[in-house]
Amino acid sequence: MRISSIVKYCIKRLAMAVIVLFLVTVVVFTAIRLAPGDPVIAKIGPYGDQSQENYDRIAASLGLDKPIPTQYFIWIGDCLQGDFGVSLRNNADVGELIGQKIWVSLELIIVALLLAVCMAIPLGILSAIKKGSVIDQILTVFSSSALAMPGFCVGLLLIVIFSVRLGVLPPNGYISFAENPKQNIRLLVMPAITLGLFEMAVFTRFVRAETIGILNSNFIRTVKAKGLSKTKIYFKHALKNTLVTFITVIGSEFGTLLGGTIITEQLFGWSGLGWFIYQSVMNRDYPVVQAGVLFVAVSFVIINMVVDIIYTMIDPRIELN
Amino acid sequence: MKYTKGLAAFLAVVMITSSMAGCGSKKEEQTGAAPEKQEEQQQEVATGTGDAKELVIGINGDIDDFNPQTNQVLNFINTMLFNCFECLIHLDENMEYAMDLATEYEMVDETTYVFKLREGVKFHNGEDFTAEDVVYTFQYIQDEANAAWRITQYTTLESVTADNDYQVTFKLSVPNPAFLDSLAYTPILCKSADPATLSITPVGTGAFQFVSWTPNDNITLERFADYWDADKVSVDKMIIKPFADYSVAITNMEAGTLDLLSTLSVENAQVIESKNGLKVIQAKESNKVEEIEIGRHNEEALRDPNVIKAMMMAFNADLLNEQVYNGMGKVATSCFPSGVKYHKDVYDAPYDLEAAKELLSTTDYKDGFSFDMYILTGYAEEEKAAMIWQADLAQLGINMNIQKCEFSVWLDTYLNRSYDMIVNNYSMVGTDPSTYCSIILAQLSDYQTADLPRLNELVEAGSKETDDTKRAAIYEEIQTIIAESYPVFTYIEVPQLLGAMDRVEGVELNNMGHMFLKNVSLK
Repeated sequence: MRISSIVKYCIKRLAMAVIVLFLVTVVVFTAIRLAPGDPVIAKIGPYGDQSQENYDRIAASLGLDKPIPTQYFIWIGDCLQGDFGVSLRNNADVGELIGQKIWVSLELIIVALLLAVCMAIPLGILSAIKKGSVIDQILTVFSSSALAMPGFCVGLLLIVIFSVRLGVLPPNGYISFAENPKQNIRLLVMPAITLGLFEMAVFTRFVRAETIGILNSNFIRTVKAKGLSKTKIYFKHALKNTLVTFITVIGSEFGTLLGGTIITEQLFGWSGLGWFIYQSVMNRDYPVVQAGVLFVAVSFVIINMVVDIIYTMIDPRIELN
Repeated sequence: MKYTKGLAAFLAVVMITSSMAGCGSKKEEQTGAAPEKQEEQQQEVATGTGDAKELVIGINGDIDDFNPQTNQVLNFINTMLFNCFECLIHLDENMEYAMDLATEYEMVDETTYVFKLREGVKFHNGEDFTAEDVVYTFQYIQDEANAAWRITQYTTLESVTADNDYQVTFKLSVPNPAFLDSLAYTPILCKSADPATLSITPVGTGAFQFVSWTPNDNITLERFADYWDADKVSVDKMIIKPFADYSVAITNMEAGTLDLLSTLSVENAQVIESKNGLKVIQAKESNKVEEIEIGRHNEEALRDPNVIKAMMMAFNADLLNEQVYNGMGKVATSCFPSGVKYHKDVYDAPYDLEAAKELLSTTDYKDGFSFDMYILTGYAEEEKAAMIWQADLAQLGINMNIQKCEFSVWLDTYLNRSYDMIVNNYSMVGTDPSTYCSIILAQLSDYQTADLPRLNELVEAGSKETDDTKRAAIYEEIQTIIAESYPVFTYIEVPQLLGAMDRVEGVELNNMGHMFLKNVSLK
């Protein structure tokens, strides 16, 4: 039953996703072109030939001389065939450029989120169980501080302590796990902590609030009356119910982080997708921005779908349709 | 039970993704050397260890175009242009012509130059350098389809001929006294290299050959084994790393993973000087100026010379130099930097707020007016200069709206001349002011200086005149006209600075901020 309903659900969601993705591409395609700043002028530069003839020639060579709707349909047609175009800056293949950055970002996001989740679940539950106690207050101050401290400050602090003072971790750079696992982990530690600390604070507060609500509910009172041990109550009944909504939060944060780790990436030279898209926006490199945003949008759709499927695995009462 | 299954599924996804991350990232390098070499280099970039002598250079933003004929960005010019590529000649740290791909040259007459070329030079792709490559380079520049920005500097170049394999003759249509300055800034391309991939796989004759570019991560170059002057090169690898913020870069220098920091502001130089193990390298003089270009025909008030003069009298350049540039700058006295030929002290509007108020009261704008000032984001010193001026102008009743904009918007505004005022910084090419006149002033001719026909005549005349006395007179008059009508207001000469670790020695830095790194040694 489950497999067939999951397949049906996926087909339905993918059909809806086509509309969402169409709208996203139209908005991004139009917005980046309406923003001030012209890639043709950027190509000419401050000291190049500023004649109209030169402008027209460069615009034609970049395919920017055609009306915007025509440009859109050419681009979307190419995308459907797997061709995301070339960078306006250097003719490099956009698909390849984005493809490189995706894995770099995914590694950082997954490790940071794992770190955050592993810390947030016990801390959030502990805080909820000990509601109002000194432990709860300490944990609340800790998570509030982590939320309030900008990632830039946390990151710089880590660099100063672990790279400048102690000299135990490299301050900047990226190397893939496959090439040098040890160095990959050493380079990953500080950016993952910087990103994970903030996420941990968000998650801890969420888990605490959600668990407090569940612990006050009728079914918990019932299982308590049945004489179940505290461990079973907290970790079987309460945690399971908390997880249903917690997974939505994780999914949503995952999608947001795909393009939203710019400051951490810049700080640690962990050159992922967020920084790359940001830089391409600054350069008005239309094909890169379009493909980057399209990827993030597709990821959002897939993540939401996966989250919904995980729901049903955790709580069979939830129907996919 | 279902929870356990869900968790297991989640972990499986994470593990698969992590392993894919490892595999996918192998493609991280763009182009260039063999995978084994790339792997070795990437490890060294990241670890900062290894047997090879690595020079790691920080820049403020990535380089994404390696075509030396199309990239005008300072990051590229200052770090890669003279180290990956070479020109026939270059201007050394004393601003004298030094031989690179040429061994000698002769000015046969006012329009003919003959260059003897260095023999035994190889390009990074293994091809021999010959006169045909020089001919090809100038054909490439003059072909409009290539959008080479130097095309405007060679409008008077009639022909380039290969007399034999190691001699070329340049024939100009009219005399051009700045011709050698332009050549000292024009890298030679390899005829056999594919022009279509020049932007991502540069091929030059320089001491360092391009290996790879990882966007926003690093650009790796290695010592070119067949370099004609290889004995002088002691650095094995040169790694250029982009930093979005220089405070992070300085922290990296402190941690010992960054050797050089290019295009340093005075503010950052002060920070570096205060750190143990770090030093600041400064060029002997500087051709770099900060200037304000004035859209005299966009805002009506700015057409009145007395309004402009009153505004200039409210510009406290001494305070700016003291407060913002820590006294390391030089208050400008002309639109030309003081180290450039024919410079003359011509500004005659010293800071005097009372006199400025009095002068403004004689104009139609005694009650003041508003105008927009455009500034590029990320240039704190320019912003502070505008704020200091803004405060003084407010006392005259003039309201300056500071518009900070990112580069593409700034460039759009600048080239469309749609500003009231805009701050620009510029390093004058060479020692002759004619390139400044042709690049900055001549391009204003349809906008700010259309009503200054004499200025435009002089710019044209100066670019052709070869008699030194006559040229001096021309450029003196140009400076005077600019000091009277202010299409451009140069307010300060800014030092050319680099940050470096103490272990770095032998960096050659000229007045234009170009770094020559072949003689660098790491102790």
